[in-house]
Amino acid sequence: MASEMDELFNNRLINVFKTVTSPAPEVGLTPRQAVWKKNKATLWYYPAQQKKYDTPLYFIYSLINQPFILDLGPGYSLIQFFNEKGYDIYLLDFGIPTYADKGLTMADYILRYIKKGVQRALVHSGASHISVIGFCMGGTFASIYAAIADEPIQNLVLAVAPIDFSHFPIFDEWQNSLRNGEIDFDAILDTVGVVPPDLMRIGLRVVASPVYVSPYLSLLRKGNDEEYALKWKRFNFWADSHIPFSGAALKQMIQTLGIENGLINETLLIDGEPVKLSNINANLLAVGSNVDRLVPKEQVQPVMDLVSSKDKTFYALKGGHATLASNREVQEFLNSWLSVRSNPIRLG
Amino acid sequence: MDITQQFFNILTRSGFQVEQMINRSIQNHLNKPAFVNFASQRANGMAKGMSSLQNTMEMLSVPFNFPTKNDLANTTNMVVQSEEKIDNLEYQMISLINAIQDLQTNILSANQTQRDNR
Repeated sequence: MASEMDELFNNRLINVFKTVTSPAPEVGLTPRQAVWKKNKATLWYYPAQQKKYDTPLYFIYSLINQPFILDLGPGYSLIQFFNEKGYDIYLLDFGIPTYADKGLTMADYILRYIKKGVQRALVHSGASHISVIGFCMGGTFASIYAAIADEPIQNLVLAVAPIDFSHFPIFDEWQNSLRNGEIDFDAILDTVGVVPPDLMRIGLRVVASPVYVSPYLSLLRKGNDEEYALKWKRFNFWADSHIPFSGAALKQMIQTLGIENGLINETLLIDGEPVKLSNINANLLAVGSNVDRLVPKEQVQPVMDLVSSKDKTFYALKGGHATLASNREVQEFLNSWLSVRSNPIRLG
Repeated sequence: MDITQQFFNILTRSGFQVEQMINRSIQNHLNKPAFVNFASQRANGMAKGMSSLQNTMEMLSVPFNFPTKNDLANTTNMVVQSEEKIDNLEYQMISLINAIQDLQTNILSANQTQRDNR
């Protein structure tokens, strides 16, 4: 009995060690083609396996991390899931910024990348409307874009996207000090130009979980499950794949969103144009989670009262920040919501 | 469920609880006004030091004739500007091609209607 337990224990440890030290896994395996490129950004096109909807999906991912979380691997890919359901997908990948991108502002991201990407996706697909789906900070940018867009947005999905920055449960003292002008980080952001990825990782880790051992314990618990280990490896690879952040954009976000709460107070200007969420008329689906430490539900939900959309739904996610990307139940809900709002093609 | 699995289940659950406790404690400490002010002062001090080093490098780049990171960034931005102009032209061209194709379709359909009426 004791020797069996020793063996089981040792096997698990060996498996965990193997998983942790194995080379970076292959991610982003769904077939795709680049339809537009600018600077470091690429607009990827993932054709539907059998097209069933006229309205394509346009994914905007966060600027903090890499978008391959949406296509982690066969069976764990939101993109593959929607392709199989019959949607054409466009993914705007902002790429990895360098020092030359230190001056990129929110207006640049929204007008020179998101808006242009949508225009290109519309031309490429020949569609009359588009569904814009933003994840995390990409969702915040999607809501800003949707508020000033001329393009025909049929559906807007904001997945764990912070909108109301008045709710800051963990680091409220930092926010108060910033609001009162007692501290500011403009000088350091101007000097470094772009915030290095390691600093981004540390910053987000501190907000979400400074000590990060539970994923390793989960891996140990399921140490003999090869499929779980592969999924874990892929997810962990993504969780550590932070990218540099433009100093100008971060400075602007701290001021206009963090301090002024510009989306709620309607003080945000993009290229001189006021951003009013009440201009949004597209069908809206907002997704928030009760257990998300990075973007609490209270930061997401207020969007429901601010838009003019007649058709709006709030979905409470049972899981953390990145659940949406790989949880089949949530994906099925997203599909059921989108499928009746994406101009189904009448076959035969 | 075997005893090993039970052990790992308990270990994971307890580990998660301990992790949450430690995290809350760390976050509370980092959220104290004294630490917030210290971090801001330290960041501003670092910014001054780094800025002075950067200015020195910019000055040295003149006599030593080497490009600085800012020179490279400026050149890259010029390339991006050109890329953007080409991109705008390409988009206009696509829009024109689409408009011409629509026009051709309309003319063809008008001609067909005329022929049918005769």
